[in-house]
Amino acid sequence: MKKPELLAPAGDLEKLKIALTYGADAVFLGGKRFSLRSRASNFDLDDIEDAVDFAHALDKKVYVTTNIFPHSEDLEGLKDYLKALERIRVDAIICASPAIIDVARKHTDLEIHVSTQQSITNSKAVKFWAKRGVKRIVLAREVTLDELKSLKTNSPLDLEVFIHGGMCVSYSGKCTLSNTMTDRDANRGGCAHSCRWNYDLIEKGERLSEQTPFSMASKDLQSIRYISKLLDLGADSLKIEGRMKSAHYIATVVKTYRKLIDEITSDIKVDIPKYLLEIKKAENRLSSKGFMEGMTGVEEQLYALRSEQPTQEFIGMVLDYDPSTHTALIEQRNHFKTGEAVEIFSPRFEPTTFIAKDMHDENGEELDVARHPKQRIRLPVPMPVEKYDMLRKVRDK
Amino acid sequence: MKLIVSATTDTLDMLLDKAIDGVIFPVRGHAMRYGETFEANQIEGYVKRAHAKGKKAYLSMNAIHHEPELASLESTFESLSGIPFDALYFADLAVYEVAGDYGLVHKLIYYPETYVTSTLDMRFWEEQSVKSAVLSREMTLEDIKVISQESQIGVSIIGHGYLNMFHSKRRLIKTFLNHVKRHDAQDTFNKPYTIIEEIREEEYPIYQDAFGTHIFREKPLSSVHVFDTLSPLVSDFIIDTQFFTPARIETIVDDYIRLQNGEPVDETKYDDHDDGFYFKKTVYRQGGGEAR
Repeated sequence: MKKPELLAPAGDLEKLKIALTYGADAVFLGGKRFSLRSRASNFDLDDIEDAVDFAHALDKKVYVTTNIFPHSEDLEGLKDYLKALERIRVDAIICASPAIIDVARKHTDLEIHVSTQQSITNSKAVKFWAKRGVKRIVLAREVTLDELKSLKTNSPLDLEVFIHGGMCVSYSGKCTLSNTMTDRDANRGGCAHSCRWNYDLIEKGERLSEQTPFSMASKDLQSIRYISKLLDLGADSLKIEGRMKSAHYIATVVKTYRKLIDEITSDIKVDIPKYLLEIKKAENRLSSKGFMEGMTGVEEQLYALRSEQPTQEFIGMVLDYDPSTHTALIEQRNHFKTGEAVEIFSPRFEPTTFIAKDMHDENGEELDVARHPKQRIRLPVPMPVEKYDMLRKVRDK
Repeated sequence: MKLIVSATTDTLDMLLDKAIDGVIFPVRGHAMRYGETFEANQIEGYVKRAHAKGKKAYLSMNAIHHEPELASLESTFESLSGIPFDALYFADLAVYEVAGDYGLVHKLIYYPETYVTSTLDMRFWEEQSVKSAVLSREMTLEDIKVISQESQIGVSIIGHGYLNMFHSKRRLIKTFLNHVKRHDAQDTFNKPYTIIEEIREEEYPIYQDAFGTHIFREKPLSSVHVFDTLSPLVSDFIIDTQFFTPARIETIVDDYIRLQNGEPVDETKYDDHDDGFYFKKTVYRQGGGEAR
């Protein structure tokens, strides 16, 4: 069985390193220009070059999103920007606009992936882009597993499939609620998520949303149960969404799918409930199977904007480890105190729980509580740890 | 600038007697968000009727096609291939591919609603040998001017009508009514509903059909007050008649014919319309997230 690429989001350089360290084969990131999610995109060209160097040293890949639909005035500098991306050896660009694809093809040899913003749902559309020098299609999130089977059979390009994270409830690229309601251009990085707001639904003057507000919001996608099928169908890349998610979220989700894919392709019997439990440690919105099995229903929608608390809380990132004292240097990310049960989360071993004690700050002062964000703390740990290992606290349920 | 109007059986005879340039026949199963669609095997007769009155016959197949619908798309093209229609609107690239199999690419007009936003888009589609492309509804007058000046192919716009601003494959009305356990949840297709956001007053039309759920701007777009500006910039000015009564359609069409003839119209008739994005520049790079 072919092992697909596991593709993860990188909101900043630290998250990029975490995604790759925890098992992603490739990451996607946004630059300062031409990218949606501009709030999440803080990579200037120097940052992207650092990202590429880091990834390539691990024999992994970096894709850069240039996925807005630019207006004419946005096109200035496009050619130079794409040439710069080529010079710093990014592995591909992810484009929605034919304008950007065309400039990339005419002026660079960049590998081109067509974004899900194009909402491609059939193999004829894939063939259109195959004739125009594209390497990969990021399929619409509305494509079902049955449709993917036929698409894979009839498509000459690599197919990338979303497996986890937030979903536009609209066909991607087809929504301008934000433009109308907030003057912010959804297709140029300004989406205000108006689909997640509460509305009244009215029919002939009768309010149908008396008890519960009407909303278009969808639950996030979660595909743990479908990875085996996706591998059978030959999906070439499995994509995790969430450039604005936390480092802990990225680490947890990436590691979970990494391990799942590795077990399936090694013919190891997979314990699905264990994976479902693990992914819940990162979940902060309710999740569903999306369109995997066909048309969505009530179970795939989010009403009254309910959020889920993750079952674990990210409390610290390992910066360094002193083997002579078995002590980790931790950067605090959330409040914790001595005597609490803490779990070490690492790409290299199973989560291991211990009781936090003998905490000290960098000046050697003993601490009962780690209360300051980014505070550096020395904490004895029961096993050797490495940079980007994480500490998390088990929540009371 | 040609005046092109989407037709229904109720309005076709009236439209064919007007001094417009063409009518649009949406093809059933492959066209969405129109007042009415027509079976492929009826199209030949309608095209003949339009041509007999000296009008262009435009077809529309603007739906998104999923893999199982490709067979139907191909058989529809088989039915249409001998019919001398003048142009065909499409959004899905599958339509381009199948049209190519029948040597019909030169009749295509790209109409993806939100994707044609720059001079380079028009250049790309020119290189794909299509007849024209319909600009995104979010274009300002200034955007339209810039694109028009550089375009070598026809520049089409939706000049009048309700602008769609959201299309989901999900059956959002049915799903919601199921969630709140309404007895009428199974009877939601093609019925008119509206939604009102909790801190805004606008009431947006919403309905559900076989293609999913569609939401529209509160007020229809009118171009009566900018018609003279648009006239030299645009090749095809499309009047989208969805949600309008036949009488209202006739009034609208008559007024644009008057404008095209240089005659004045009573603009107050369109006080319940708005000017879309002609003067409303949407913001780029504000960052995603809540913005209420």
